[in-house]
Amino acid sequence: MIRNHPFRAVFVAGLAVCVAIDITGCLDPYVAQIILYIGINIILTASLNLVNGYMGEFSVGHAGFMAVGAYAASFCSVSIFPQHALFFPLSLVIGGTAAGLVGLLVAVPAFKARDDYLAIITLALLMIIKSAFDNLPWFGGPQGFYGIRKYTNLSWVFAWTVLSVTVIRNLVYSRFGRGIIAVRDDEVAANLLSVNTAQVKILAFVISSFFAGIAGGLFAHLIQFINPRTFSLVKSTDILLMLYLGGSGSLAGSILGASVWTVALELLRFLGIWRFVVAPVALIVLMIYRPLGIMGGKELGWFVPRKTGRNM
Amino acid sequence: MRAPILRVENLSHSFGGLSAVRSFCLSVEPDTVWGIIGPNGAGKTTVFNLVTGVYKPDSGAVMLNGENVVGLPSHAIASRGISRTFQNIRLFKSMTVLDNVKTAAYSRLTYPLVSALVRTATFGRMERDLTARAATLLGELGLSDRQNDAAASLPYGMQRRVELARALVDGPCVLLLDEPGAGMNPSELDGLARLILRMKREYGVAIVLIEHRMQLVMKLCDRVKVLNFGETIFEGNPADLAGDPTVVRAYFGEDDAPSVN
Amino acid sequence: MILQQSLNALQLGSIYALIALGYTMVYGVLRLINFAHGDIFMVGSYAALFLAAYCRMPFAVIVPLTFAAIALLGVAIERLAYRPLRNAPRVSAVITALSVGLFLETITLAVVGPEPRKFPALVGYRTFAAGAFAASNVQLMIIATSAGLMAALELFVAKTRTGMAMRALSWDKTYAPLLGINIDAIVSLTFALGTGLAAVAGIFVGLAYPVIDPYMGIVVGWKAFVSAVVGGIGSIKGAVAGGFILGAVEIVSAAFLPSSYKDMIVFGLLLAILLVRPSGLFGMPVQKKV
Repeated sequence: MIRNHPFRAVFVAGLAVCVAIDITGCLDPYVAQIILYIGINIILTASLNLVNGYMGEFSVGHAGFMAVGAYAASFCSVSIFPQHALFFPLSLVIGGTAAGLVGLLVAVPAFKARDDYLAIITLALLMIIKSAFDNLPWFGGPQGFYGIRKYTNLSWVFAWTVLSVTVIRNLVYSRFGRGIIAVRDDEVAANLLSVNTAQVKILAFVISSFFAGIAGGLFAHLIQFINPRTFSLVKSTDILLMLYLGGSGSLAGSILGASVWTVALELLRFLGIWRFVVAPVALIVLMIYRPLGIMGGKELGWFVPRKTGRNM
Repeated sequence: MRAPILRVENLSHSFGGLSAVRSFCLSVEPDTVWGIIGPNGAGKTTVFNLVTGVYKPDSGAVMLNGENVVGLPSHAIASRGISRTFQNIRLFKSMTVLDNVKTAAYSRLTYPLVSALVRTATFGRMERDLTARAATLLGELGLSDRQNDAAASLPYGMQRRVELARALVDGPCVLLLDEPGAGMNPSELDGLARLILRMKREYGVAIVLIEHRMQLVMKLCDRVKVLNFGETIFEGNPADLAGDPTVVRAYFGEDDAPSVN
Repeated sequence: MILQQSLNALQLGSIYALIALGYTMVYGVLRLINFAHGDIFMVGSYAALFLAAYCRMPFAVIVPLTFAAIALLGVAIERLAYRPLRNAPRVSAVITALSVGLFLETITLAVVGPEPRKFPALVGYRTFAAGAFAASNVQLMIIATSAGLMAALELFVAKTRTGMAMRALSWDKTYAPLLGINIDAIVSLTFALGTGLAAVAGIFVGLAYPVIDPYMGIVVGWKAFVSAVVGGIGSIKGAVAGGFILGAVEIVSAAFLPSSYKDMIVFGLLLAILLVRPSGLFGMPVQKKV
């Protein structure tokens, strides 16, 4: 089994380690929390990569989908389901699905607009979502949503991170992924070569928002309190920065970008607020000397399917 | 007489008051090569665009195997069997040669999203079959050793061949070639001509080509149509082309025409 | 009442328009959306505050001085951060712009702290009343000055040689230099003008809504960006139109609806406009040749 399916073996082993750590609590909680943030950020970055990287769009509203997922999942786990960790995955999936549905609602009109305008539309959407959560009564309004149980742990984050990266990777290396990249390179030609570009664009957007919603749910059940300001434009900007730091159009890039950004900001915590001065300057310098990000637009060989054999 | 695969009936289209194509008719039978020629701006590429759904014609019908495809989105028309190449090469620059070809089979592959995400056996089989088919096609076009290279890195003549492979992978019944010989030197043109004849004989596709190079038109086309300012001014055999006064006037004004080489 | 609100709308609209102009001009010559522009506007506001509160300069000196200082900042940013990326993929430039914005926000936060500051009353506040309707001299000055600046800009772009060069550059970057147009100089000038106008908007915001904070660049900046796009990005007329539409919509929705719905209405309406006119009001629809 291990020889035929190395990937599955590694995944099971990794999960076992996470479960062990969760049960014994042997890892320093501070380190554990950073790892949890890295995982959540990887999911956010990889999902944004689908739309901004592989499809070459510029969506600015990713934090909005994160918000929908966070609120929906929290609402489910606090107000609907019995208070038990068993229902956590269900809440998460509902959160993700809600985010995906919002993505569907947005994608259909959004993709009728011109290039640069997707940024505006997703920005407007983000503002509308924030405004909605500020005003709707069931979500705590501007004061926020309290009392979320801390269900997020290493095992869940590990599982969902691996799942999201796997799903996105499998999508990219399929006819749909080729369609997505074709839309980026030459949408008109793609259409004329039998690619149903409308279907492909909506697909990418919905899957992207679904996983943003999952990340939102995981995030909410980690910090246990959310309010509309948590999911502001600054958050969207963070995700964008992680994506392009690592290199768009590359899953390894997303993983690297998310990890490096999260860890660097932690390491620089001693600088206080000045870390948000150092970090952007470092990013500007990187952009000038390596505009395509750390991975430079290339993918790690491990993700690319072999031409024959099982790992396709 | 066999039934035509493609029948274009009275296609007309204007762009904001400027008539681009007027009452264009074309009847394409299988195993035939049609040539569409005419001065620049005559409306030739517009006809292709109308037939493939880039624009919706103001009036007229495009009957593909008996079905009127006017109004359908381009990808639906493409998946029903019309493939095309472009005046300016439009390869997917960030993909490899092989992936460029595989992408054009989007509608031909029928596995659903879930199959791809979970990697079912059906997915694996369909992808392997497609890869084999694409590789074979590229092999026949002499591109086997470049198939994993970035499409953008190939020289011009090879890129044109990749475009051809891309147009063929879906198994079309009609192939629209927009100036396939543009930018080619004589030996490449020779190769292209042989290729097109082989496609006609071996793949059984009907071919319509827009060309400026008379050598190619004379060598390849069974029938020819001449367009000028959106109107058809000649339809018939290539041999009768040089003598027709309307054609001569369209290309060369009122002067005598030089001989067609 | 309507007249009153119209005046408020004109005031707010003028401010949005001034900022939107900066976005649109830079996009016109560089095809870059300068996401740091909103934060530049904010820095302008704080610069004026500094000159007023600590250097005790009179209003007449503060305006040109702030304009010049922020114009210089804009040119410096272009030179250091954007020019090296002029031939890089557009996205890299966008990330750089976002980073510059973040940098400006944080520097301001670090230096002045997050608490809102009160902008000193630089102009003696006087009200003109006519029946139920009252206008303040600040409002009138803002509206008049903005109109003047916009008219001056339009004249500059339409009638002068440099303005013509700017327009030429916005149409075609490859051939403009062949006609003797110095791209670097024009780009620097564009940045200087655009950021200078944003600085003036910053001063006006300080006068009209006397409390400023380091985060207002994000909110106001992005709204001005949306105005520029709704008007048709790249079009000066469009930026002005977009700014005033946004101002009007905001004031009207604030007047009739609870203020928490304001953002929703404003952005919803903007989306609706884009749905109907996908290239913006004065933008040119892009025809792709197949």
